[in-house]
Amino acid sequence: MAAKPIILYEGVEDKVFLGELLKVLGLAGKFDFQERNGAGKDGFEKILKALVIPTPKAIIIVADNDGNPQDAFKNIQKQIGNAGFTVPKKPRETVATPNLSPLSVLMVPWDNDSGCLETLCLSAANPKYKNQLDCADALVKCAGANSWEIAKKAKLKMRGFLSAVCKTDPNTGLRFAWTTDGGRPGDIFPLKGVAAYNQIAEHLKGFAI
Amino acid sequence: MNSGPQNHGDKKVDANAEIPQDSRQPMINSIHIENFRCFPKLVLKDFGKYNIIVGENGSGKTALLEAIFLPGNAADVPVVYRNQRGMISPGFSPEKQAYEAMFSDLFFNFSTDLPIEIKIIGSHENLRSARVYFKPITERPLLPEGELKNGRITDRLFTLQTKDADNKESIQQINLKGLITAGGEHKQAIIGFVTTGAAGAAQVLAQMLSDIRKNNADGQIQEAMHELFPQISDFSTELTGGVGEIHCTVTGLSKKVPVTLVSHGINKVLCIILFIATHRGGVVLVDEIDNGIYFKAFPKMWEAIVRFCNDFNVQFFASTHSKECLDELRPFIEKNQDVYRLIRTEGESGAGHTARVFKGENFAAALETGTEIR
Repeated sequence: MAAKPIILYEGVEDKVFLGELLKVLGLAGKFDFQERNGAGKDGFEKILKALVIPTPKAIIIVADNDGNPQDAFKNIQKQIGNAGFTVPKKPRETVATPNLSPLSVLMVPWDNDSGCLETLCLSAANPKYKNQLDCADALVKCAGANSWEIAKKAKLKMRGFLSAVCKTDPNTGLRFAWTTDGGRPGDIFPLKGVAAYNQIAEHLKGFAI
Repeated sequence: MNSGPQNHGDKKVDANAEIPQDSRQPMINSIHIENFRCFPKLVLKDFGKYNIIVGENGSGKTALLEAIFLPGNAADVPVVYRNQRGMISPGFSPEKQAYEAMFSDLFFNFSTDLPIEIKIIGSHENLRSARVYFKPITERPLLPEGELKNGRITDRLFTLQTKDADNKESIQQINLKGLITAGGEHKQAIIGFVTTGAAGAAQVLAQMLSDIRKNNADGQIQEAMHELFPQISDFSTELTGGVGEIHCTVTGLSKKVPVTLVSHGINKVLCIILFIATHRGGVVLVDEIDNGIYFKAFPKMWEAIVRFCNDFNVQFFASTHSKECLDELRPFIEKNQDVYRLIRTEGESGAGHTARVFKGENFAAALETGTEIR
């Protein structure tokens, strides 16, 4: 069995966010991440089938709830079962399967809350960028996107917000929100001591022992 | 090792085609190992037609191949293993310590007090077991000339006891002069073992090719090798100073040259293909299959191996450390997941090692997702 737990994720943004959060928690290097970026919400089954072979210390699946937390979790449950693992009944429950790694599912933004990583991060944006955040809200409204599903709306808002904040590269995506490379601010979404991330941090800490 | 001539047609089989049902049945389904090399006890079940062995250095990949090869072979197989592993094989001595040292590394933790037990279960031809132990000498041997006194001469002989599917038993021993004495009926298994050493056994390969050519059955081999390595063609056994060696035509050269002179990798691939072609209905084991082979040759190498194994109904075991080599096998696994297995050996030196068998579905998923499995 490999010495570290492994985190499976939907997109590279999730990996970058979780990596930065683990750094802040002093847990950098305590976790592995899946080899290839971006399983997508339906890509966990294949990775789990692969992880039957090296059997990491634990497997943590991080997935978005999007507009329907129940459906999103059911989709993950189905993939876990198809891969031959014991299926957890609820988010954050750690289940054991004989000869396989223990496994847990972390739904983002939280157990039964609708949304995605963008929803979570936007809720904890640096107050110094309040004007740009308001502008992004206005963009959503002006574009007629208020009635969009929560995760899609958050992604639109995130694009507008990041473009407004990153003058040197308005194409900047969420994966570059924590870097100062290319003149990016790097402080758009502070992670240290931010209440919005406490629950996720606590869950991850439990696997780092 | 059975390396007799095998007749075959020159029909080319599409490596991606559905594998015929009779060819899907693995020849060896499982193996039980006790007290052998790094394995105190190991049971592996559910082998496939194609079995790829991975694991860290010293985790037991070669030892597993040796365990499969041991039953049904001659008692001098420990000497063969020593040569294959590049170990020094001193001349036989009846002196107890030197005599037993020739064989003690076969036993887990060098513990020769317990026997090695290996049982392979599969189709009729490959159902067999082996018991390896030191048997006390009951009759006082003739003392060799010289200084050796009673107490220093070995008092037990290395013994290989095998039983085949027909319950026929044989007992072979290595006597004090290093010669095999055999009793009972010993039926050799149709198992070939390709190692770096075997690939270098030029005369063995030359004989294989010669036997095949006598049956006008070398067309498929010539074609496969030329497809893999377009610069070479027309493989044949030629004598140099009375010793047979495989030669080939190389584009741009005026006369044929030994394959080993052209490339170690080309010789290795030829060796694998010849072993498959001469072990119809049997098993071919290949240690470090990627060793010496240029990475761009892997796709066609696998294609040739799969084609030959299907055509000659051969079960295949190969070890590798190479990610590139594994990645190029992926399309074949995805096409016929049920016939492929990954075997992963695990353990640290000194402690008892183990191994696990994984299904083709998991094997393919690991390669597709880039999961480290080596």
